[in-house]
Amino acid sequence: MTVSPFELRSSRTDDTLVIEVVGEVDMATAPELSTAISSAQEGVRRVIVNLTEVSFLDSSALNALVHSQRELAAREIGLRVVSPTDRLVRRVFEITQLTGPLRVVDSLDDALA
Amino acid sequence: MGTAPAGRIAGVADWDRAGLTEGLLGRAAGSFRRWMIAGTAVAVVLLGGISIALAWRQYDDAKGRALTDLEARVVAVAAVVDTSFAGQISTLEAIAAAPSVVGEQTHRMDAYFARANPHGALFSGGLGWIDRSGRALATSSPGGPAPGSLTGRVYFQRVLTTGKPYVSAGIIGRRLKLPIIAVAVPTRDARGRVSGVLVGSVLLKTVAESKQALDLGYGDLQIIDRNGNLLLSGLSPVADRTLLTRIRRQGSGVLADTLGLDGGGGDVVAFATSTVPGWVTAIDRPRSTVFAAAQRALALELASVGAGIVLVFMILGFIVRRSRRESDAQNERTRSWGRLTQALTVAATPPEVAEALLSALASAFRDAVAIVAFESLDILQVTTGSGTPQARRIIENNGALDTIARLGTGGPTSRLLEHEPALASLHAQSGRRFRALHTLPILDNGEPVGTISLLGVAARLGASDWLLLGSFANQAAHALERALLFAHEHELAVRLQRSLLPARLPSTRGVGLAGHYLAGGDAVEVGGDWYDAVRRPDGIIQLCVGDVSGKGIGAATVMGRQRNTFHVYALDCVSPAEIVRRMLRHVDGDEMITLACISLDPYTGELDYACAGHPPPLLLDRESGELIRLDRASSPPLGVADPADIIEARVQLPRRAALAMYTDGLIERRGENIDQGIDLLGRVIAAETNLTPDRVVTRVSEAIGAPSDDVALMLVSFDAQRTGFEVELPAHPEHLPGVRRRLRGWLSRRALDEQQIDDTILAVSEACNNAIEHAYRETEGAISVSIREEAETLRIVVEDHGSWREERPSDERGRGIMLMRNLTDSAEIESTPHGTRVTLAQRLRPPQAAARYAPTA
Repeated sequence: MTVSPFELRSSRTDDTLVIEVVGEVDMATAPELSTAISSAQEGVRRVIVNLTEVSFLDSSALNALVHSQRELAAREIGLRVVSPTDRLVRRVFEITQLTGPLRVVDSLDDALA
Repeated sequence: MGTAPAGRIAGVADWDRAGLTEGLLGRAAGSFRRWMIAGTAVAVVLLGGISIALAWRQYDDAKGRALTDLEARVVAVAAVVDTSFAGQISTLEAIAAAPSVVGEQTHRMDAYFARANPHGALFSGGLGWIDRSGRALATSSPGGPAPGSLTGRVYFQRVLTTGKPYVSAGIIGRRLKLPIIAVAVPTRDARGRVSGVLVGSVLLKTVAESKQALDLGYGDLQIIDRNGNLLLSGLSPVADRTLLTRIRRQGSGVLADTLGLDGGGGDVVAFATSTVPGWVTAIDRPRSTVFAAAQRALALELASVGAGIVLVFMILGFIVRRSRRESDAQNERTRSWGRLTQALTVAATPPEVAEALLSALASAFRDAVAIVAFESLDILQVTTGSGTPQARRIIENNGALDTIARLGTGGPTSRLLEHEPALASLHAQSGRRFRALHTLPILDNGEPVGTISLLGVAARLGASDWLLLGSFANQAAHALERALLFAHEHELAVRLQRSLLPARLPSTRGVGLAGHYLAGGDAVEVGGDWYDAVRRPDGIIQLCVGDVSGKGIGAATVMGRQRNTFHVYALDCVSPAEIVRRMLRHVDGDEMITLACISLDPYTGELDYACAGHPPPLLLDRESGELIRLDRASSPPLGVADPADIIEARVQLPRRAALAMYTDGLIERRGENIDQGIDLLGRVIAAETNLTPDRVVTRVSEAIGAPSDDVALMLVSFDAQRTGFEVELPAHPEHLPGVRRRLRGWLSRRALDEQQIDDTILAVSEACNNAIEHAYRETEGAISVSIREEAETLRIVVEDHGSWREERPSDERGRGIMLMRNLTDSAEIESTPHGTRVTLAQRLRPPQAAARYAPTA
């Protein structure tokens, strides 16, 4: 059974950590995402999780994001999620009504603004 | 052959003996007939020759007689000529003695001559007297004597010189200027001195002018005078002087080989000499005329001889045909014995033995009805020797078979039917054709195993008939024993083979599997061909068809081992190449196995295959009709191949497909190209809509003959539309992406749009998450996902068998459930002590009708 590629790329500019996620975020890979988010170093004020390249995202990923948001909030770090409206992934946020709480925006530019 | 045990019937030697006997008989009869024909032909030819020789003798005789007859005629004519001239000479001499002549009184002579020869009655050319000086002084002609001297005439000189009468050759008369003959006698005066010559001349007529001569058969009479001139043909000379010389020398006789007097050729000349005039009388006739009668007689004789020979040959032909028919009938029985031996050699079952025996009986006893019964097996068969189905019906309708079969067990017996109460009605019903019943037991080691019976007219059978029946029974007993043994062995082999092949194949919705095994040859030994299929819990179907070289228990054992090996590894891994590689580990040094392994995912339509020295499986696209040989992943057979040699290749299954995996026995025939066999198989599969393996085997056999080797054939029919998604997966997150991928494959072949596909996949994934999270957090377990399409709705059931543990915050679990509910038309979760069942329903939408990810919020 071929596992679809899952990849995380983190890049930091000033106080912003951008985590690019590629592939499927499910029960198997969500913990990695959580780890990547919580690995934000001192000085980071903002974490942007870019899900533009994500082909699949389930409730495990949502739970991971909600957890991470709480955790970051404790460290006064903001979390934003990028998910274009024309993807299945965006629908998942909408169905679970997490678009607002997880501050889901359409594009990375919006997130950086 | 003489050392063979008495009981041994089977085998090539006995077959040969039967063939030899039959051949010898045929040859003996044939050569006797040939000798007879040749002898008679020689005799007829000899007789014919003798007859012809005799006819020829008679012909020769007839020819001789014709010649003699001709000669006799000529001699007679010659004699007549002699007599005639002798008479004329006498007449002349009488005239010469008349006083007027003696007195040389010429005037009186004239008157006397005229009186003596009125109107040339005696001498047509006239009568005259010539004196010694050669002057004609008296004549019977009214015109008076011709003037001039006649001293030059030969007759004048001869008569004067010799004083004797003389008949001249043909000369031209001086007065009449016509051909004449002069008959001359001397005249004497009173003193006896020759005073002159008295001449009577006869006018010569051509024979043709004389009708009388023709009537008498003298039409071709010729008279040759002294000068060699033909008196009756206007004094023309004889053309062939040599012939003339021969005639003169011989005097009289017949010459059958001359050119004829006129030199024209092909003539018979008969001749005789008349002494008085010194002439030769001759008949000159064409040979064909002379011999016509003889030739006619010969022709008649030859015709009779020819007709006789033809008649004799016709009679001979008739006799030969009759004798051939008789000898054929005579030999038929012995032949039927030989044929029986032959037929029994190949008769493998008791019914075949009975059939062979019946047909031998039918040909040996043509006017009887034969009945064979093998009691121990309840096999009762009947046939009619004389070929009337009525006879059979009569026996069957009377229920006489059992009675007849029972009667035979005692010993060789003949019974009259009228004395048998149970069979008496047969006699009348058959129109008295069934008068007697002759029965003989078939004994095997003294035990009756059946009976041979003959129903017929004859009240008794001859000793030779009983002998023949006895030998039939003997042969049948051995063949029956052998057939029973064979049947036993065959049954054992079949049972063993069946035990080694899968009893059932794991068919599922949309994937039909059917296998067929056909034992080749005499089928007593088990073969090494097999097929097998495994349906993995994840829904992947593993297929294998293989062929262990060799036969018998050894091959079967290897086959059984490899089947088990395949079973284990097919569950263990998906890749066919990997399965084959692992099977390779279990191949011993001297074993040789070919096989084709296929892994078929009915949901994604992925087909992976590996072939090790095996003919390529065939894949048919039912929609396009395209036929694909799966031949891109071939390696050497197991026993030869290295693990690194084993490769695999992938093709995409069409929406509707047929797949054939087979062993070479199906398509390989001696002397034929295996490629043609594979092509044929392809055509058969493409042509059959209702594919079953035994039909395929039948069709292939019809085209290229029955297989001589074992055949294993497994057919897979695939219809993506009819498949249900049935997957069992270990409850572990790492398996989820695979299930999603395969589910996408399955969904994409249905009437769903992209969004529904995505929604369904996520919903199923959430249900699985649920199971993994809550049922098997710390234990190993399995989740089953089952999706069926019912009434345009997908019914999805995700089940686990774990115990529910509520450990996580409800909102987290709630998101999964919320997703399931929002992504499907209905979602129910039932928890029981034995596990949890999530049931989802997704109504199908035609793809085009769906909006594309319209935001719902």
